[in-house]
Amino acid sequence: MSHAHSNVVALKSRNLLEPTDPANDAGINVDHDTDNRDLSNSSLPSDHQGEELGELLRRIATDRNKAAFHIFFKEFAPKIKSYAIKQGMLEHGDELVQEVMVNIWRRAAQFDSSKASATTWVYAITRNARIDMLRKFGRSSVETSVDTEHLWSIPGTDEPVGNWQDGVIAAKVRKSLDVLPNEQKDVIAKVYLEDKSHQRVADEMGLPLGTVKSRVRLALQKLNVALDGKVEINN
Amino acid sequence: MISHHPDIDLLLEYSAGGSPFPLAMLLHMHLQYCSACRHSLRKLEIIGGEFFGASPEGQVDPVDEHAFDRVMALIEAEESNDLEVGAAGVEHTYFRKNFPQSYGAGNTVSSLALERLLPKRFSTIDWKRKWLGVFEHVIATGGDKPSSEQGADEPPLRWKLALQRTRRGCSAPKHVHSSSEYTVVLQGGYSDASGVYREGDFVVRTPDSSHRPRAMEDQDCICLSYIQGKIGLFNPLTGPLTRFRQRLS
Repeated sequence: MSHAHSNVVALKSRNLLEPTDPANDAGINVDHDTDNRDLSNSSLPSDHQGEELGELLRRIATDRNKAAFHIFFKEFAPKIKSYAIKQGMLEHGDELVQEVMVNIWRRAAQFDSSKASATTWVYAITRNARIDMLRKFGRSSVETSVDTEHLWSIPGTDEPVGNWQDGVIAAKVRKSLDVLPNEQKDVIAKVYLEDKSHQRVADEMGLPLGTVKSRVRLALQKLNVALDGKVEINN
Repeated sequence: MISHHPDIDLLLEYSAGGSPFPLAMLLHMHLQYCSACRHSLRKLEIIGGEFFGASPEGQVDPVDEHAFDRVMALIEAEESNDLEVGAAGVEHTYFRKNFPQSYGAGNTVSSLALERLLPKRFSTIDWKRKWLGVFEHVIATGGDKPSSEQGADEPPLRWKLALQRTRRGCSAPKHVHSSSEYTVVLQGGYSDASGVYREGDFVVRTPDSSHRPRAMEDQDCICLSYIQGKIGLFNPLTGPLTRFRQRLS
């Protein structure tokens, strides 16, 4: 294979996550070794996938491990590209993949598994990289004086939600997504993946704005996003 | 205690990275103060991650097989230039110093994003007097063209992002907004007929609503506002004056 990078090959001998032959194009199954573990809670296989992704990031951060990075790349590059395409940035898909992956390598040490799962972390980096690219295509200079990271990152002063808790929430979300009516799922997917405002989603689906908003609310309630204590000013 | 929060729709759009810049600034500032909304946003990011992570891979153009090599080449070039890895440990001082916060132990508000938009020192901010005791510093204006590529079919709406300062106990004259106004209270507080707003509160005023905000007595009230459309003075006999004051610089 063309990308049997010399360093990658060198690292293979002390390898870590078998099977991680970087030249194996059969696709990486990051769930591969869950069978070898003592799974006290085997109903959440994705948590273990999350743990492994987190472990890969740790290796990228501490050993600058290219084999780990390569697995990570294979896992996320298609998702990033798919995201770019849904966002209407087809011609910039590869550029976004590149940008995000370089960022992941650079910032792996900042990944804190007590704060977020690897997928959530990569999602935030991808979203920010997309915002950055859109800015480069031309918006006001005032806007570009603010770092995307500063403007769009959740301030980190709280007690961490915790990876475990994050994993539980993600598992719940996943389960709820499966049973969510399509009309609700579609609306949220459009907002998240296609960067559409509620107004645009409403226009596109030929629905009143209020209907779209109430579908979003219903969906988020089912996905357990707390709305407690929210007060709206509508006058 | 924060009692006024953004609507979940706004948080969802922000979490998806779709809020227009001035609105993102307002939400960002509210989040500095509000742990409840930070918590909601964290959940929203997890949901975003799930949608992102579940993207179907089959229908996508495959990522080209040299892409990984190109990424490694970029990384190696960068590292040979000896660039710093990461940017952790940046000290936030400006905002903390000028908008001292005292609610909640060890919970200090700071925002590098807002710092970038303001002069180096708070004392050098160029406040323009608007009314007796009411000052404004316009940070940005826009809306001459649609704010995003995808918004090309939406009519342009003029807006401004501004810091507003009202002397303690002073009030602005009653006025009406032709479009929405979003405000985050950064320091002090104010009240109007519909409520009392304190540090961290996120307040939305819908189009055509009028109010007469009055700063609290204990200290000057400083707000960050995103104002769409025009602001008109309110005439008690005829309603809003037909001639709007165009205050966008």
